[in-house]
Amino acid sequence: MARLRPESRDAAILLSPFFVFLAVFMIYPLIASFYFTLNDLALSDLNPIFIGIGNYIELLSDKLFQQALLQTLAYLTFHTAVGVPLGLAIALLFNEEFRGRGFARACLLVPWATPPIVAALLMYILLNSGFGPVLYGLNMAGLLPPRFTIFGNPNLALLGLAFVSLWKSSPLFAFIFLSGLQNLPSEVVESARVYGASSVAIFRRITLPFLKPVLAVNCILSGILALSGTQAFDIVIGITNGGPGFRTFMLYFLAWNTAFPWNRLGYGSTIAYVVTIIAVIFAMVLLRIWYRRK
Amino acid sequence: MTDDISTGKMKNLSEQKGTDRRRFLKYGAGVVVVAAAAAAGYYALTPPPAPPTPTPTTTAPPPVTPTTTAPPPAAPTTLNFYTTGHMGFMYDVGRLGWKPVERYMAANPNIKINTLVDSYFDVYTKEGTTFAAGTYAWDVAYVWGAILAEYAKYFTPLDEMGVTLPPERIDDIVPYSRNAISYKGHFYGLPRMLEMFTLLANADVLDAKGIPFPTTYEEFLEACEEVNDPKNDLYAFEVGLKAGYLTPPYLCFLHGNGGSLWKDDSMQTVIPDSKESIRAVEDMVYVFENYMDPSAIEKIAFVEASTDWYNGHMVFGMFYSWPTMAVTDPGSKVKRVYNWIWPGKKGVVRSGSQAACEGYAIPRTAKYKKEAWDFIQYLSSREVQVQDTLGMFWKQENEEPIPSHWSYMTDDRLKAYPYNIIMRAQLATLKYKANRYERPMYHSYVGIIEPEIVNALTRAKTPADAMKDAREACDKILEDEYAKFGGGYYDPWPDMQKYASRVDDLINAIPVEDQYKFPF
Repeated sequence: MARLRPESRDAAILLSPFFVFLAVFMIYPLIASFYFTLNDLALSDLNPIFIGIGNYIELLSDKLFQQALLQTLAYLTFHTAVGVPLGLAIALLFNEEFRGRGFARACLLVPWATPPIVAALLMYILLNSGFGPVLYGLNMAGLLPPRFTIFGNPNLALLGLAFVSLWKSSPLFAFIFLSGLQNLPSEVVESARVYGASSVAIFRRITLPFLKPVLAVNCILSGILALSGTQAFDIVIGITNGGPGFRTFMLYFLAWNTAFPWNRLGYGSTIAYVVTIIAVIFAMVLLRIWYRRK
Repeated sequence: MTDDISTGKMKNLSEQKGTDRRRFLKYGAGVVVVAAAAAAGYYALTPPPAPPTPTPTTTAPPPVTPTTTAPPPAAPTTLNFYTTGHMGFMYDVGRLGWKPVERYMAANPNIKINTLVDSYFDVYTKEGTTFAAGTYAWDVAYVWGAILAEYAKYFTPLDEMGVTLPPERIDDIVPYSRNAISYKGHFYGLPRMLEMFTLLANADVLDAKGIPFPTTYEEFLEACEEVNDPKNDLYAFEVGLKAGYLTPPYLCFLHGNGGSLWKDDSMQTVIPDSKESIRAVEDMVYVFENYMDPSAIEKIAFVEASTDWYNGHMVFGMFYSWPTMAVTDPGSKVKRVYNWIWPGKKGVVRSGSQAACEGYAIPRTAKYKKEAWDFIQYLSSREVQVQDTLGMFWKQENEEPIPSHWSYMTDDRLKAYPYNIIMRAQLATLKYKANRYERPMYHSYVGIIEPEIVNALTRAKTPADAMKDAREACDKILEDEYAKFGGGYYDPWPDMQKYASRVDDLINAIPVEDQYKFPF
């Protein structure tokens, strides 16, 4: 067996705690949960019954899974289509010099720094139809009927959750765009201005193409946050708990709800696995599209 | 072949690595020294262990020389007591400051109770994952019928501990409450409480309009029509309709229609699509659309609807009786209440309700089972349960119920205003069907039924379609449940009917205030 070079051996020793952590908290659960997907398993009775791909077959005809998938895709689309451009707009604004920009940038970090469950509970209180000040104020201003409900309305609940998520995510997108904008060569922009290009033309022909890799990163990030991040889960559980009806059941929440409240650990793990595969495929497809264009 | 630059780099790298290695070893040694110093300090400050007990010998012991030094006290046994947030009284919260846990520890200096609290809505998943982990967590744990049915194998049956409840003790426990602490003939603990869904009404509003307290569902709808005034932010009826605690009100509507959620067959098939159930959901839709605050769909149980009760924005409410205690709060807009049974459909049934019963049991992983059992008996004792009722407060941070034993309900202290109103209403419901249908996969069933009811309430589906879809999903759960648990779950309703005359005697023993009329 070839001996490790001294530098590789040192690296291995220094990195070993991390590898142990990775093995125990990521690789082992990944393997174990895959094993769960092949079994009928519940917390109330930890004797697994091997059923092969039975859980995966059940998933194909599961109407609730299909509903959750569509709802997740709608949420993801809205989250990306609105959140990413919003982040770009914020970044463009904060890229300009103005008084108090530093303070404003710091304030922008607050939503992102707020833990997702705290953000969810905060919005639950602010936007509550019974005691929330926001809807009450809008009602007083004559803009909404009394006792108007967002999270109790099946047509608005998902939109309401997306808004909460956007409040939280847009600063992150903005900062990523901002770092891209900081690297934009100013002489190119200056030259374009000298040649009489309008701001819109500069944005379309110089800024946007330059930001394409950053745009790709933000779109992937948005997709991951919407599909499978703790943010999507915390916001659902903190505000609607999947309701009204099943109208805010999203895939990640469905996986947890199936595994724990509905006590089907095997089937819940199956959903989680499928969600992960969907997220990976989503990222790969997006990257392929971007880099093919490049 | 070597390149000057590359050789220079290699040389530098090797020197650099040598420096890095030395630095690493130096810092590592520093960490070890600091850790060793910390450990030494810890052991220096920790008191030494007690000396070992001497091994008995066959020779006669030497004469004991009296000393003036007292032996050191034995270290107290710490019991981990897991309970829920709404049982505030049980962990020393309550407006009367009676503090049962503190009293127990004062009376038992060798016992220390370490109380751990979780929200009711988190207990099911918390207990499931904790028990599945198989490690010690609690000596005394909160249970109710559905949790015990599903996780019975993780709890210690009393007979395994050599404890047999005498028949008179079992008879004294209200049958609905027996469900909280027994499963398939085995007892696992004792009940802590009992409470029933009732109809509450703002008496001043009804009396001002000359509306009698409804005795049928039809009268209830007429009364709602009379008092409903949404333009002035006054709603005839309110109950939280958010999924999560929607089963209790649904069961009142179901039982009020003469229905049952399970069939009397070997599997006890769950039938959310029975005609009574569909009618119940249709009734809920009608009441929601015509007499309720639209935001009720966002509110869970009465805990979030209670603000409107307190502020006088609702006339009728449906919940356990404790919100009637709002009359004792000077800030409340509710000054007089009527509290009586939920009215059933005319010609079908007088009433129907829903029973909530909770208790405490001993997990298999408990360290101190005997001490745990002593503590559970204390929590289930007459004095603790009566004090729990007396500590009733309108705010939902403490959910004070009525006692779970027939003999405790005769306590004279419960006959005084305002408790007598609550006791009479709660007792009256015991004569009518209030099954909670506790069974192993209860949480899975209601996890489907409740969202489908919400689908009907929000007109996403018709009640018939929603309940048909619920039935389809419930049948799949039933198969799984029957295979794992075998059916035969306790139905307390037949036993409850045997106590009807005892209930009448208890009601008649409690005086009525002149200004409050309670129609039978």
